[in-house]
Amino acid sequence: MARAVSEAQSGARRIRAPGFALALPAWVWFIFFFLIPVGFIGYYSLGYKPSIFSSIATDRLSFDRYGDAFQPLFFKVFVGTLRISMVGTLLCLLIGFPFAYWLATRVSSRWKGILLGLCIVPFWTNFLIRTIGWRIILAPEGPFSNALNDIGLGLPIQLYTRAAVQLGVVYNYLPLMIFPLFVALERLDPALREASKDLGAGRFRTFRQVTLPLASPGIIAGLLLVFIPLTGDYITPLVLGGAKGNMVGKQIASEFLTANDWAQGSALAILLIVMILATVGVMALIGLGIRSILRARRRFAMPEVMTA
Amino acid sequence: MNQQQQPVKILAPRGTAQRLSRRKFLAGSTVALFSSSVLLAACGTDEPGPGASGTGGGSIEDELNFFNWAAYDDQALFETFTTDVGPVASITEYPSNEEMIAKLATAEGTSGFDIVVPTGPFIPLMAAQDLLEPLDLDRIPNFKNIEPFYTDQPWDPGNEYTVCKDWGSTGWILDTEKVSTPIATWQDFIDVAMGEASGDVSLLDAPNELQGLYFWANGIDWNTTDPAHYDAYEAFMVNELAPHVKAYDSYPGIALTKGNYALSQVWNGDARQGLLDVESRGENPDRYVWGLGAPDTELWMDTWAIVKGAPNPNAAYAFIDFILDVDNSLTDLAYHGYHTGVDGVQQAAEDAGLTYLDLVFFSDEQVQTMHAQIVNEMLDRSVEIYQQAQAASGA
Repeated sequence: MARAVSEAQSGARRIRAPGFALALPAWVWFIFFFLIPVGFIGYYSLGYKPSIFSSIATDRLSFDRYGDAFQPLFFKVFVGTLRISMVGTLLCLLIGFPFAYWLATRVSSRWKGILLGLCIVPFWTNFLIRTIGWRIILAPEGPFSNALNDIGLGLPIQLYTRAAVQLGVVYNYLPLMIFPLFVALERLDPALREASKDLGAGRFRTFRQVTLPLASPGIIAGLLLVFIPLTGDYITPLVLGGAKGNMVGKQIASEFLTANDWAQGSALAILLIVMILATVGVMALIGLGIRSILRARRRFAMPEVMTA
Repeated sequence: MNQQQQPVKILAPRGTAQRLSRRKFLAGSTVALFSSSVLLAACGTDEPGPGASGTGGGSIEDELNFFNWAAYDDQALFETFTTDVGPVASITEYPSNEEMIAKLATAEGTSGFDIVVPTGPFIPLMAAQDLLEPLDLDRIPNFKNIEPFYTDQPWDPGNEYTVCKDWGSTGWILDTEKVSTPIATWQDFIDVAMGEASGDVSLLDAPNELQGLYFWANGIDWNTTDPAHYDAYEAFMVNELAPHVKAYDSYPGIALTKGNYALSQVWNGDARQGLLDVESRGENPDRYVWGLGAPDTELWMDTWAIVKGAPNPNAAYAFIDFILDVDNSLTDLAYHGYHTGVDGVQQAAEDAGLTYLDLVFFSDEQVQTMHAQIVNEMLDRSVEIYQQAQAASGA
């Protein structure tokens, strides 16, 4: 036993590799499947489409494609996309948080695994098929809508509307919000909440000053995990949106596939990346601002508590 | 004998998979089940398949890869072809000529597809770009079955690259429970689309069809190259019509009869599929009215062509010859609802008691009002307006 340990120790010393070696696969992946492709998209976005049979030419570089993308029409598509993705992310948080909280704090550990497993079950089905399933539910003369009509209610959300896309993205991305929230809330030591209660904080105050700040890494992870892919989604608007629920992702796909105009598609893709980064940046700044204000207020309240 | 039989595969890209209705999907699964039983049966025998004999340039390959429009041909035909000749068909779908050309041109001869189904006016451009294999008509004995009227077309003189698959036209279908105004012309269509049926209209998901809709309604040659006409078309389509459009859908026939639209621009065969579907559901088909585009409309012809660098050319020739057989042609026509141009197929269809043949075969007066598209230098402009219209509908 002792010999084995010493051998392992000396072995570890002999093959000691530089620290970044462990991250090498990730770096290779990052460089070849992210940096280089994004570099190409950036380069292509400066090109133009020379003829119907060529997708791209880059012998003459310009920012004209960006100019085209800033037409009022495309701008409206960007605004519509941002609205769908922000509302969608917020809805995922509002629906996902209570569920994750309940799952992490109120459910016995035996049921936790089963319920969490049920959240994963939809992923066994292809994203596209799951989305197409909603077409049957939302079809104006489908079984579901007929049943609702029979009991005197109409179908509240119609296929081929922006509301249908909104519903579809919340449905598709909700699990991505629940998982990080659950992990964050699960790790939260119940003793902290009890301590807060013992020190006289009410339920709401405990939630606001203990649970929420400790869960914030999970909330931030969930927001990013949902917001970023949702903003670039093109399957949901394609399947449920018709002409009304258009999103940038669908427009990009159409530029690449139908118009065969890689330059215009690339310019839209770069603008989408910029829009996502800018939104995340602005939200991060707002979040930091709110946090520092709250902290400042709390610090100010300390002496009062002491004197009382 | 190690001939591997596989079920018919439908590799539908995301864009088209949405149009795979439940009915079609179930039909596809049935075919897949059926083929597995063929596979089991084939395992029991040691006889070489009939395809092993071959015609001309070597033996017939085991596979045949189609690049085709969505749900365009009767699955049973591919099954029969596999049983009779040997090759197993796999199908990849595309929604428009522009997209098909984009993919073939990008692949530069390595697409792996054998047979493609381009629409007539796009063929000269595809040939010039070396995307198509010239045909050896001697290897297609059944070519003689095509009526001379449908051979030797202006866009492919002497059938150098293609043979007629079928031809059709464009019109509209409406739901009389939602639209009370009768529609007789494209102008009526536009008026209803922007009035009574606003927000419940679908247009075909192809640049040339939007272009046609405007030009036919306004009595302008739809092959015009006058930029002023295009400016007017752009202003109308993007600013006026697009906001009323619910979806751009190339196959609205069945969707409309399921309540998705009040009014749709539609190809005749797809309208017929919608009406047949209504009948098969036991509902009243009289509720839906088909109209052929007027005063002018489109005449399009889709063709069978062999892709440059096709890995299975012998199987491709065998299939084209197979499908030009009158019986097989009738089977396909009964499914897709377009005139195949094969001599005697109209008589055969009448004898077989097929319904809605007025949506399949047109009178001489009707054909007089149909005009083939010419692909000209305005194509890029047309695609651009189509993109903008889609953006405007969503805005």
